Amino acid sequence: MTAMLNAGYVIGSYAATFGGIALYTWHLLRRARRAAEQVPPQDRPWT
Amino acid sequence: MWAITRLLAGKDLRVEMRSRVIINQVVPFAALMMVMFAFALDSDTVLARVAPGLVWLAAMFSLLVIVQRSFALEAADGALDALRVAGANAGGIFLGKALALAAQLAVLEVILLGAALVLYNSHIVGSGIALLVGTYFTATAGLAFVGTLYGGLAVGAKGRETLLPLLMLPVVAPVLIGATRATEAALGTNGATATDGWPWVGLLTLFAVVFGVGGTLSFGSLIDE
Amino acid sequence: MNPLINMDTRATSTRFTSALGLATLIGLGWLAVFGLFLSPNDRVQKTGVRILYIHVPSAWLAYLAFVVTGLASAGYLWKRTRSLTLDRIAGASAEVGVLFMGITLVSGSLWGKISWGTYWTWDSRLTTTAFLFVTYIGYLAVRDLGGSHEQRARRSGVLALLALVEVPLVHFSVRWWRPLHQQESVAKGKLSDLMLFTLFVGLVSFTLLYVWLVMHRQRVAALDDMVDDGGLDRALADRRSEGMP
Repeated sequence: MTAMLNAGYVIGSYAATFGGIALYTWHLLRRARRAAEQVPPQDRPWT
Repeated sequence: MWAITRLLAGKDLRVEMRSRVIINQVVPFAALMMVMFAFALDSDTVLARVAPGLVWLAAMFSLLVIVQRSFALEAADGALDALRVAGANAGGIFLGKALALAAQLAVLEVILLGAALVLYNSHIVGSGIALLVGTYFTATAGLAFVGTLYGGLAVGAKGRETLLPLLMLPVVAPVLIGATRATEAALGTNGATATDGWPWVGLLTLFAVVFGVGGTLSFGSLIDE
Repeated sequence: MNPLINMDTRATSTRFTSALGLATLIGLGWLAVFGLFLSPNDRVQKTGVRILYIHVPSAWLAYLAFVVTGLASAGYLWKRTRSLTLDRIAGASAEVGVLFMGITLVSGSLWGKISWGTYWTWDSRLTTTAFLFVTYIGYLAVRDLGGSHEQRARRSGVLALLALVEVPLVHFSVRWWRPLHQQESVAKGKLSDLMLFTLFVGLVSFTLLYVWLVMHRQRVAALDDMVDDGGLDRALADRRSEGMP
């Protein structure tokens, strides 16, 4: 019983960690695309 | 630098003497908080035990209000920018604002402590008076320095009213802890004795020195356009 | 499908970040497989030990991120060149640090529930961590206050240095306040080789993830700044052309 319960906590923590990272990454890349539309590629110092 | 400090502190205190905003609004607010704490906790024994913490908590919330007021004065007509353009030393401005803030806060804290003694039935232990005075000065200095520093940071910016508590409360947490423990020792709460309190006064002194020096040095880069 | 390896939008990606992103994905995939399935249960911690493989790396990287923020801010304020890139790195690192600190607090409290029976204890390390989290949320809010880029950089730079001063003060006052210490999370030398390896995979892949995120975030900030400047230039040009009939 406790083992099952603990597995739930473990899976929950993995879900929160990877979910949080994925959500932030998605948000970041969307921001990047939006901002990039307004700046011509030759102005970006990294290209 | 010291001339600016004196002038600015004098100016702030004169503004307060004429407008009486702190006396007429902040002091009643602080007193009200002490009464509300009693409603929320609803037990004489609990109240007596947490009285020191409540005093400093109320002082901190009042500090937020006073800082807003202090910098609203400066932001109103771009007074702070004008001072800088006129060549006033930034460190002097910082110390002047902090001094006025400390004076107002000091008055408020006496009232809060008095309220705790009356409303929450606390007593000062005989040997605790020196400790209480030490705590009172060091904690007030620390709070005033932090309040001035972060108040200056947010001055003139949109959303500063809501940002200030977020920035300031985490920073003053050590003061809350230190001043509460030292005051507990001075009031003999939970069987604490005066000697337990002095290390905390040391912490409060360190805190005040760090933020006093840091603020004097960095205030210029914070407020300049 | 996965946004990490979406090659057609090269907004803030370069060949280097794409490769780095791919390596990060592989690392995180490995970590999930090793952490959840392949590594053995701990004798004392049982299955709870698995949380450590993500908790410890994210905590470490969050601290590292805040140190980088402090160093970049100090660099900005110190150097005469006033490089806005340093300021943007400071901001990017702080934002990623807040993300990592947030997930650290979540995974930590779940781990605490398993091993101590409570989500939270007023241990000095935990409390300091929570204060760090709030402090850097405030730092990010200050970065969004507006004003010129230089003003933002100077303001947030000073704030980042003040945060470095604040952290030890908070830490020591909390430690004095509650002098009880949680015993070391995992006693040294008790981890098997496979456990140590899994933890190592976690550290490496989180480090890669951190670098990848900061690079992208820094570039997004650069783009935003350029858009700001461009908008100003355009407004000025409009204004001038109005004056001339």
